[in-house]
Parts: sequence; C-alpha cells; structure tokens
Amino acid sequence: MRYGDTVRKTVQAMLEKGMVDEVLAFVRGVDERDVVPAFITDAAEAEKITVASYQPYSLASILADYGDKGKKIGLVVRSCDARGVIELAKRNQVNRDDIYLIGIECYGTVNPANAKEGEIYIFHDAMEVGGKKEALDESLLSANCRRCEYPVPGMADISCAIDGDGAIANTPKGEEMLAAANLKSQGSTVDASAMKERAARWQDKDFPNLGTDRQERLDYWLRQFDKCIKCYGCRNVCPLCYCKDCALDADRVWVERGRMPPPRLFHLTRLMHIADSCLNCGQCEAVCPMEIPLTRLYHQLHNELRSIFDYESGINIDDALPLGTFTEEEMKAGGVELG
Amino acid sequence: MTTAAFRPKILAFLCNWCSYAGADLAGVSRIQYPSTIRVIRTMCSCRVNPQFVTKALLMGVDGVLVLGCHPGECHYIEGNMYTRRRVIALKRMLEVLGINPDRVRLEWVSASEGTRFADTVESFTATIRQLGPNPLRGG
Amino acid sequence: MVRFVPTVCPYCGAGCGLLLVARDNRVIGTRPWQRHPVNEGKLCIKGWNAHEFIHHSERLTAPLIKDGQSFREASWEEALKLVASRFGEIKEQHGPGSVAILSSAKCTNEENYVIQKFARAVVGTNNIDHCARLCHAPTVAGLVASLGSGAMTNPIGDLEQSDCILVIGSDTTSQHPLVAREIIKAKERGAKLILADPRAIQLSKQADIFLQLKPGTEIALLNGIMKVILERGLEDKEFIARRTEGIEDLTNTVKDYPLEQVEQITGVKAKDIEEAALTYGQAERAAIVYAMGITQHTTGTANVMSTANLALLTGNLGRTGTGVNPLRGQNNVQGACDLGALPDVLPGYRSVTDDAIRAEVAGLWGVASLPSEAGLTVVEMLDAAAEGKIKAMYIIGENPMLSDPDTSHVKKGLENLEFLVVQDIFPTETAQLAGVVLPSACWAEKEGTYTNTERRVQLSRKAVEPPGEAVSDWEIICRLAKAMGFADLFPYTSAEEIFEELRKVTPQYAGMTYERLNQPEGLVWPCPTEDHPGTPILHVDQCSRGKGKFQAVGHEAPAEEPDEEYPLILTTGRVASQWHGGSMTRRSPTLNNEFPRSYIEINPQDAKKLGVVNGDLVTVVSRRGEIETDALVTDRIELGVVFMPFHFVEGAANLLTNPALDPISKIPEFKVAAVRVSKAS
Repeated sequence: MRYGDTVRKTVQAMLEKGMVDEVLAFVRGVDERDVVPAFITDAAEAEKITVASYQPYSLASILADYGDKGKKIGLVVRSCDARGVIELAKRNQVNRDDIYLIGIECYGTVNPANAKEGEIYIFHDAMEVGGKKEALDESLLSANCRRCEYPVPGMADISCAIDGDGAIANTPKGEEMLAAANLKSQGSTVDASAMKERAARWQDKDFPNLGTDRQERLDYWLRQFDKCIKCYGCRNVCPLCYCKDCALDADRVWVERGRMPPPRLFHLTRLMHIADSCLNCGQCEAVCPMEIPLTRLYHQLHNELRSIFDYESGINIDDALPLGTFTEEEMKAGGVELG
Repeated sequence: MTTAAFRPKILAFLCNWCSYAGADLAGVSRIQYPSTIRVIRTMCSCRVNPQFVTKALLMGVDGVLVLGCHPGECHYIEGNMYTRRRVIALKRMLEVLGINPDRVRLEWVSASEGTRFADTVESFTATIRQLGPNPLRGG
Repeated sequence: MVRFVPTVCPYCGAGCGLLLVARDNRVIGTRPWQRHPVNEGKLCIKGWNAHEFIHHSERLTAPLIKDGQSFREASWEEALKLVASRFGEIKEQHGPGSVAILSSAKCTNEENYVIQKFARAVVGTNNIDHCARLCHAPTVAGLVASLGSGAMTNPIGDLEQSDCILVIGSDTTSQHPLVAREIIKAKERGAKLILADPRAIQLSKQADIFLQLKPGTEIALLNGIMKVILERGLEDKEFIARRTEGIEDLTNTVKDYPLEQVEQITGVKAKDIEEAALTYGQAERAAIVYAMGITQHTTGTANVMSTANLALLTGNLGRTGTGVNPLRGQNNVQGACDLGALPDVLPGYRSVTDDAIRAEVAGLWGVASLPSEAGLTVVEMLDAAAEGKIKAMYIIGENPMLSDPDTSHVKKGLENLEFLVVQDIFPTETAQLAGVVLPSACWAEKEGTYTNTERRVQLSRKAVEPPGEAVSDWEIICRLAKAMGFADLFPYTSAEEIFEELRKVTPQYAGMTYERLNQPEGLVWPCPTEDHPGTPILHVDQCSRGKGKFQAVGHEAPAEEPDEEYPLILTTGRVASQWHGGSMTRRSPTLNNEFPRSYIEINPQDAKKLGVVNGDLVTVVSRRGEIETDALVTDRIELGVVFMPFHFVEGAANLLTNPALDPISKIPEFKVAAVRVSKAS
C-alpha cells in the first residue's frame, strides 16, 4: 500500500492497546480498484486498511446500520464521514464517547467505474494513478467532492496526512490516540485556500443561478424525478437517514405506493428532511441508478440554509439542529423573518 | 395569462388558539374577505408538517397560507418559533426547486385580529392572482 | 462480527454485484458493490432487498412427506429412499419417458448441469426443461436461425454508446432497471430512444418516439419499419452483400407492408412509424433491446427473427453500441440454457440427436448411452401429465402453478401424476401438491456460478449456512443419485468440482476456471481456452453461423383474438417490486408493500363503458377461467387492452391465459388472450 502509514500505525496501536474493540475502515477488496468496508478486530489486520481515493459507502451510515452497540469503535474517516458521525451522535444514533475518529485528509474520490486502471490517490494538486504521478484531472472526481470545503477532517479526533507522518490531534482523545502510536502531533502543510477556491469554482458551476428562470429549473427537476425508480438507494445510503420507520415507506400515508415514477413528494420530503444537515457526502448521487444529480439539489439548498441559520453541519457536536432550536432574539422578534 | 376566470385555490392552516379564533372573529364581525381559502385547523402552527404544504402544492393548490400566534403568545410557548424557521427553510427549498416561494406565506394573527385576518387573506389572494395558476401538476 | 460478502443478485438477468452484510449466521442487509462492472455501485429496489426473504419463517428446513392432506417432516434418508424407489418403480413400469424434470433458472450453472445429467444418465430421459420455455425459448431458437447463436449479442454497457435504441416489448425500468440505466445514460449523451409497447410504461417518459402498438402486431411494425428503410436507401448495402444471405426474401416480404396497412394492424400512426424507421436507419450505432413483448407470442420465434432482420438490414451487428439485445429474465436462465437443462440439447447447445455428441458426453460421464430423442417442453409436459402419459415429475425451483399458462390445466396435470417431488426454498403453491418436498439452500447459502443476460459468467459466494437441514440443490441431486445407485456418476464434494467437469463438455465455458472467474468482471462466453479473454461482442467479423440469414416472416394474428363474448385483449406482465410467482418477493416486506396485491389496468373509456371506477372489484373471465381483482383505471393502457401482473395467487392472471404455443419454440402466448371484464356483483 503506497500511502496511509500514519493511519495504519494508529489503528494498529489502538487495537493492540485495547483502546477500541474494533475499527471500521476500507480495505482492499478483490483488486486495487475495489474497496470494501471491514470491521477489524485483529491488530495484525490493520495493514489491510487502504486510503486510496475511493469512497463507495458512507462509513457513518454503515456504523449506524451495522455497528455493534456498546462497543468502542474506531473509524477511519474522510471529512464527510467524520461529519456524518457527529451528526448521528447529535441525534443519539451513536455514542460519541465510544467513537474514535481517525481522520484522513481528502481532496476528492473517484468512482472506479469512471476511473482509470490502477490504484488512485488524489492529492490537492496532483494525482497518482497506478504508482505514476500525474496532473490532477478534476473530471475524474465525484461532483460533490469538487464542491467540498472540508479537505482536512478537523472535526475528527486526529487528522492524518495521506503521505508521510503528518498527523494532528484535534481533541484530547486524539492526543491519546497519537500517543498510543508514538506519533507526534505536527502541523499540516495543506493549502486550505486552494481547496476553498476549487470548491467555490465548482459550486458556482454546478448550482443554477437562483435569480433566473424558475420554470426552467422546475422543469429540469421534474424531468429528473421522472426517471426515479424508487429503489430507495438515496435514502438507504444517506448517513442522516437512519429512521427505522421512514416517512417514505410504502406502507406509510405520505407517498402513494405502486407508482413508478413515485409521486414527487418522495423527493420533496427527503429534501426537506435532510437539507439543513446535508453533508454533501455524495452517496445519494453515487447510488442512484438513474443518474439523478441529487447532490446538486441537496448541496445547494444546504448552502442556502447554512447561511440563513448560521449552521454548519457535522462540525461541532454541541451545535443544535437548526430546525429544532431558536434564539432569544427570535422570541422577541415580531415578524416572520429571523430578525 | 391570468384572467378574471382564474379563481385561486388557497389552503390555509390556522392554529387553534390564535389565528382560527381571529378568523372566527372576522366571521362574526361580518368582515368580507375572498372565498378563495379552504381552512384546516391545527392545534398549533408548528403542527404544520412541511409535507402538508408540499403535498398541497403538488396537488395543484395555488397557494398555502400558514397562520400562527405572534411570537411570545404561542399557547405552547415556543411552537411558532419552530414554525417560523421551518417555513423559512421550506420557502428556500421551493426557490431552489423552481417553485415561487411567494406561493407560501406565514403570518401571525391573534384571536382579536379579525381585520388583520381578512387583510391577510385579501393580500395573499391578490399575490396568488398575480402569480397565476400553479404550474405543478400530477403530485 | 459483521462481514461484507461480495456476490451476485438473485433476481434478474442483469446480474448486478452486491455486498451481503452478515452478522454471524444471519444476513442483515445488502449494499451495492461499487466495483462491479454491470451496476457500478447502484441497485434497484429488488437488489436492495434481496436479503429480506432469506431468514423468513416459512423457509423449508426439513424434507416433507405427504400424509393424507398434509405434510409430515421426515429424515433425508427416508425421503430420498421414497423418491428413489418411486422413480425407480415408475421408470421400470412405464419407461424413462414417463418421468419429467423441471430444472430452475435460479439454480447455479453447476446445479443445472447435474440436474440435466441426472435426467439423462440416471432417469434416462430428455424430458428436462425449465422456465426459459416461458420467456426466451424463442430467442434461443430465433437467433440461432438468424445469426447462429441464441444469445444477447452485445454487453449491457454497450447500450450507453448507442446513438439510437429501439426498445420493443420490454418494461426495462421495472424488470431490468440497471439496463434501463444504460439507456438513460445514452439519452443523456444525445441518443434517441424509440419505444414500442402497448402500455405507456415509465420508459415512455424518456422516449423520443413512442409507438403504442396492439399486442401481437410486432412483426407488422418491424416489417413496416424495414420497408421504409429500404425505400429510403438507408440499408447497409455493403454489410448486406458481404455478411448476409436472403435479402431478396426479406425485400419481397416487407414490400407488402405499406404504412397505411401497418397502421391498421398495429394501431400506430403511419407518420410515427416512418419517423422511427428514419431515426433507427440513420443512426450510426443502433441497438435493439427486447423482452417478453417480443417472445411471449405464438409467433415468438418469428418475432425474434424479425428483430434480427432489422439489425442485419442496417449493419447494426458486431460493433459497440449495436446488436440484438434480448434481456434474459431470471438471474441464471442464460446459464440454465447454456448447461443443457433443455429437452433438445446437451450442454453447449449441442443436439441430443447427434450420435457423435452423445457419444462424447456419454464417454465423459462413464455411461453406455444417452437418450437420443428430444424430450417434452414445459407446457407439453403438463399436457402429457394431464393425459396420463407422464407419471412422475421432479420440479426444482419452479412454480408452475403461478407461472405457467392456464392454471386449471396445470393443476389437473400435476394432480394426475402418480408421484410429484418438489424441491424449493419455500412451500410454494406447486409444492402444496407434491408427494415429497425437499428443502434447498438459497442463493446466499451456497457457492456457484451464474450467467447473466450478456453471457457473463460470475462467481456467487456463500454468506451464511442454510437453515435446518436444507442443502444446496446439487447436493440433493448427488444424494438422490446415490440412493438410486448412481453415486459414482455424482462424486462431487464442491461446486468447483462440478464446474471443472462441466467445462469439459460445454465449449463456451471450456476456458473458464474458478480462479479466472474470481474477478468482478467474471468471464463472458465463448471462452474456449484458458488464455482466452472472453467474448463481449458476438458476430464481429462474421456471424456465428457465417452469414446472417434474413428469415422473412409475415404478420400472423394471435391464437385468440377478441370477439363478442370476450371483447378485450388481456396482456400480462410484471411490476417493479414483485418477482414472478412471488415466492421470494411476497415474503420480502419492502418489496411486497410496494405492490401488495393483484390488479387489472383498464383504459378510462373501457372502464366507463363497463361502469367501473378506479378501485372497484371486477370479475375477469376467459375461456380458461375466472378471477376477481381490483380495477386500476389508467390511460397508461390503450383502448381495448387490459393488463394484469401475474405475481399474485389471489388474483392469478394465469388462470386466464392461453396455453397456445409457438410451434417452433413452444412458448405459450402469455401476451394475448381474450377476456371479458365486469363489475363484481
């Protein structure tokens, strides 16, 4: 494995010292373009963990669906997954105290179907394909990754560099984790502003201008929703969709069953339920068989709500959910706006 | 394309304690207001699930009115705080999708504000008349 | 401990890759497998819920023996002894031809191989068939006649590269959603979609040209299209000259299909047919996709040949983004055919009547001889059972009581048998009639290979142990063969051992090994040698038979047309979340909840005439039987036609369908029957 030594070293130490019962991470599957999740309990297996730039699942979602309750679990996470775990913790779906987040810096991931042959690592200014360094080809990256503003998982317990020994402890737990692996907390050399520029550029490109023709926008989304075959993939993979009794289920009253494409309320409901906390993890779009560009819709709405409510999803576990809270000032404000 | 023949269909959610009473007051005071609204009474304005609004719009309703108590006067203390944030988020969703968010309006109307109720319906009806029939069909 | 097991979906012929999530001995979920070349990390609603029925309480866990009106549990020893002795007796008294076996398109390649070996070497009969008879038998027969090979010519992924896709008789978004994805991707690249279907299915929203034709008029439509292509000089003259024979016959036939007449026959407007012809004819790369709407007719084989005619006429064969693409239904119906679970061919589509081939296979198996006359097909078997000519049947992983036409006749046939053995994972409607029921392991509980519709052979992996005493179908066959004294012919201890044997007699699989197959791409047949990379596209330089043959065919009316007494055309089909007889999907809550019950689609005008409104209980009658079901009034279905899904036993559409057969491939005419609908009293 070409990169990710810091991650593997830390995981190995954490398992050896009994700091966690198991670690959820990606390991190489049947070949170098295949990564699959694995719950690792044996420290010796830590060497199988890969940080190659593929993200076929949200590990936060896997944790919520299949993680053992009551165990101490480590996760090797990119920012999107780290933020997903924090959002789940806010909603009491996982216990943050039992979770140890080993963050890995990330500049984008690719879908192996679109990618070239050979293992891929994406860096902020280059990429390595099958061992050869090349100029970064942004068209290979998932759309949501290009718009991402969180290359460094500062909300995890530690942030590891892809290449080399760099690792930063972000929390006291993180300090313990680095200490266990005999690693020193050292600063990052990542150029955060370049990522901000890339994110802004792609957001500008992907998000329709809200000031212009509404009808065109509406027609576009209705046409996209017409393709939907109600596979529930978007709902199933979303880290924020954990409800066992989901409003979209066929035996609930909301979305009339037995209709293909499903009533538009299917999409508008999920959008309304998720948008305030959308992580832009991209899993919904990655899983949609009908190629509906879901993240374009969810991410744009989330950005709008983010600025209105001054709320960043998945950063701070103590931040209250925007639609479940209000401020003193709002109690006093007389109008229907936020004041 | 709005003609005199366009009769807006407006769904109005009125909270039990304030705005429904306000509507009632408008009635007994014989204050005239357009008959474009169909009323659904909820105990609190925050009972209004955003799906009610989106489903109504998808069914072809031209506008949705949500009326609640003034801030500080909610029978359940803080219900209208959630309503306010929720409607703001909902309207933003409509805008991003391409549905005119002006088709949804939130107002505070108290039990003693019969005239204000009538004025709200009058004003919203005029807005909807101007916007024209709902372009959404087929739910 | 939670494990993620990469494997292949058990539902349709797309053969998508998925990860089964297992904790200890229980499958607790499914996730898509992003690395898989067919579905690339996406799944349909069936794939997402492929695990839901695995641990259902009704799983068969022990052999059952009929005792009076009900069943009692028995040991394997007792059950197999009974089966062995009864088969032995009946074979002795009435000859091997009095036994018939139905293999399963859901069983693995290894299992289909041992089942047909059992039929031929142990029982001594070619009376072996499976449900391909009910779906793509015309494809096998028709494409062999036209092109020399009866399988999908191009990979699923090729469709994305097409410039024009003609989908005829396929509800692709419901039945093969991940194939529909390729069509959507092609459209987003600018390709044109022509859809021909009697119903305004979901795909019609994406179609550039929608030809809503009357069921049973497919040849007229295709001939009309070909006439226009010839008139406008859009045929590929060079391809025709170099690579085909029979163009004169075709030209002579299609000249009798002027568009005004085709409009009369099909109900499709002449100008739309013309537009479709020009669009297909002018495309650089045009592909045809078809399914049951082409095959399930008394002219099914001719319908298939007609699609091949269109492809040959325009040179749309042997190149990326072109081809004739039948979408095989079951996850392993392709494999079941490949491995010879058919009455007229041995593994590899080699005829049972060929002395040399029989000798070769007999030699490998170590038997003196093999039966030389072609056996009975599915519907013929049940006819013969009703007549008392077939005395015993062994039905594996099939549910004729739900999926065969004319259910009352099926029931009569099965009840008339002296002995019926059913081997399945659930107590199906067919199993209820059996004398012995044997419990099988399901797809997640065994290893083996499956072949999808694009001829891709894939390894499927075991995730958990089967429940109770259930074992995999191949193990049951081995045990039964042993009980019948043929242990030495079935010495297998693993699926891989079976595969190593079957590839010796199946030329298309000869170069495949489990080691080579252990990659997400699997291998696409033909793969004749161990260094051969497989063959994604067929008929590249020449057709499998050399030159492609134009099989000129003309329109023939369906066997049963509407009349005064039965004025409506009943056409049957499927829905997105149910699968065939429903034994798996009706036991999967998410899938069953989506389409939980039987219904009949009626056009609003027809409904009005009958005084029926949406949701009314109606009675539907045909010459075969009568059912009650709920009316779904919709303009999705055209005037004069009604549609029913066949999944629901309480409103079993096949009680009404016509068992009239295509004379060549013996497929029943599921797509056309005459019915009368009235409001239930």
